[in-house]
Amino acid sequence: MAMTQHKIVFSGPPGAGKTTAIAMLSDIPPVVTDVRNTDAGLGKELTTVGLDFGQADLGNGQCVRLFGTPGQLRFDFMWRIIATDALGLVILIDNTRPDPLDDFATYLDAYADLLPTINCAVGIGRTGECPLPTVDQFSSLLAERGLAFPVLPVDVRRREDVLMLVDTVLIQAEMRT
Amino acid sequence: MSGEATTVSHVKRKLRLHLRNLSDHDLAKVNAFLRIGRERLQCDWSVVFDGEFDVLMLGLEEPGAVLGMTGGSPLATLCVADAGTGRNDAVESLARPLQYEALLDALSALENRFAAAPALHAVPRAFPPDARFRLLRWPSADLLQGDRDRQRLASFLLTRLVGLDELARLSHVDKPQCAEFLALLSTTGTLDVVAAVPEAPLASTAQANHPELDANHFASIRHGLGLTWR
Amino acid sequence: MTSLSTLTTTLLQPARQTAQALFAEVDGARAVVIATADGFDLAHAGHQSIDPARLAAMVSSVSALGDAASRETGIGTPRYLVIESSDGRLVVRCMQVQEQALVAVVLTDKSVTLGFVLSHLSKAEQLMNAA
Repeated sequence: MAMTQHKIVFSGPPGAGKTTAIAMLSDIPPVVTDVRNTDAGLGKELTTVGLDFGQADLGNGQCVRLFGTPGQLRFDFMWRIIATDALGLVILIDNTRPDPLDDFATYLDAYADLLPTINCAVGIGRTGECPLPTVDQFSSLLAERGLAFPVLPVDVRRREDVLMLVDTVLIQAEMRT
Repeated sequence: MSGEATTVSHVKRKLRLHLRNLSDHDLAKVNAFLRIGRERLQCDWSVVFDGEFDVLMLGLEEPGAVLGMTGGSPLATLCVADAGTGRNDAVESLARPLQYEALLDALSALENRFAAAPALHAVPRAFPPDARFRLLRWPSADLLQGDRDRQRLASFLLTRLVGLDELARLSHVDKPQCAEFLALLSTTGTLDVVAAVPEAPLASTAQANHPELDANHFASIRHGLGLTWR
Repeated sequence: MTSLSTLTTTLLQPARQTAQALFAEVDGARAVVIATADGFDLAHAGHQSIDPARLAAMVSSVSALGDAASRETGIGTPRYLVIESSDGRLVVRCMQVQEQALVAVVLTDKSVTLGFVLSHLSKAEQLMNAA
């Protein structure tokens, strides 16, 4: 029986929790393309250079494919490739990075032509450690661009937080049918 | 929503204050000041030590330091540091030794900031009977208060115009609760309200990305992911 | 400015020499890029105008996907990946040089014998390890 597949993409800067978020939902061990990081400024041992892939089997011949993009800007060509024909896009931000709003703007620029019509949610991580910028400041950045998406503080180590992001994507998709 | 006469009753909003890294002396002071200042404060403040909270009160040992912590998405953070150690202008600060007036002023300032969402038990604005709604921007964290129902309702209002009945049906949130939320949103200037034209197609500027998907599909996707909502 | 690890910076000179040697020795080569496995270009040579930084990132992604597919199918670790296109060919070698995973790519005309390119890439890895 042909399987109905849906695709949800997790994007965002390095360390924002894309791989973790996918692992929270995937029924299979996620495929990862992590290699040793040579960028001393990144502060991570490994970095994703291809994509992350997971899959949630919904039963009834349906599944949701979960893709994670590489975080670093030099892989921006992968962002568009992976996001093509996605049911939804989740942008994860790490609020402890030096300039989270600038990070966010980078991804808004990269996906600029997709965003008016794609179902999208934004997860801001580690707001407990770094309360600034506020979640509302991210919403304001969207509003300046004429966009409105859910912006939620999340901990991607909590499955219910990741599910909430996905739910808001599904809600937007449902409203477009 | 039918334009009936409405009464608005105000109930003191409850706010939860989470204290972390404070000495026993400071803890005792905060509790005492809250007790004494109860009548002066607009909201009903309670001290919590775990679980969800609205405002974090954090003791700092070094100027400008912010301790790492797990969990919690506070609406605001108050830092407590020794007097003269320098102020972290990025975060509201209180100097030690904690003073009653300073604490009450800080909490009052937060209450004024949060004042967009007083507790209401009725709709303050009468909408047309067939009104349809759409959000122009994502609501503030103050208004959403981390409430899952409100977050979901706001998501339903993002992509196209939707009426109250449809909103309640799709979200599985009680109609009065939907109405209350719409009323709150209407006070923020971010809600587009349109009176529907009878027999006109529902206005929508969104494109259907996946025309093969229908309500049953989304229900089964949610069920498969373990997204149980009511 | 990206700060590469110390181990990587010691490979810069051998990488430059290798890139130039590959370009000189492979007739029909248009460009050579040697990159880290996480997509930073260490060296490049050639007459075709390319963006070595972008090509380095792309071939590192291709290499990583090849590695994932190899692991998934239990066939070990990849050595080469070949992108055969209508007007040319990209031949990618996954290398291990002084405990550092590198990726070398040669862009050639279609007229160049594939085995010839593979052989030179293999020798390039040996030379870099001997440097």
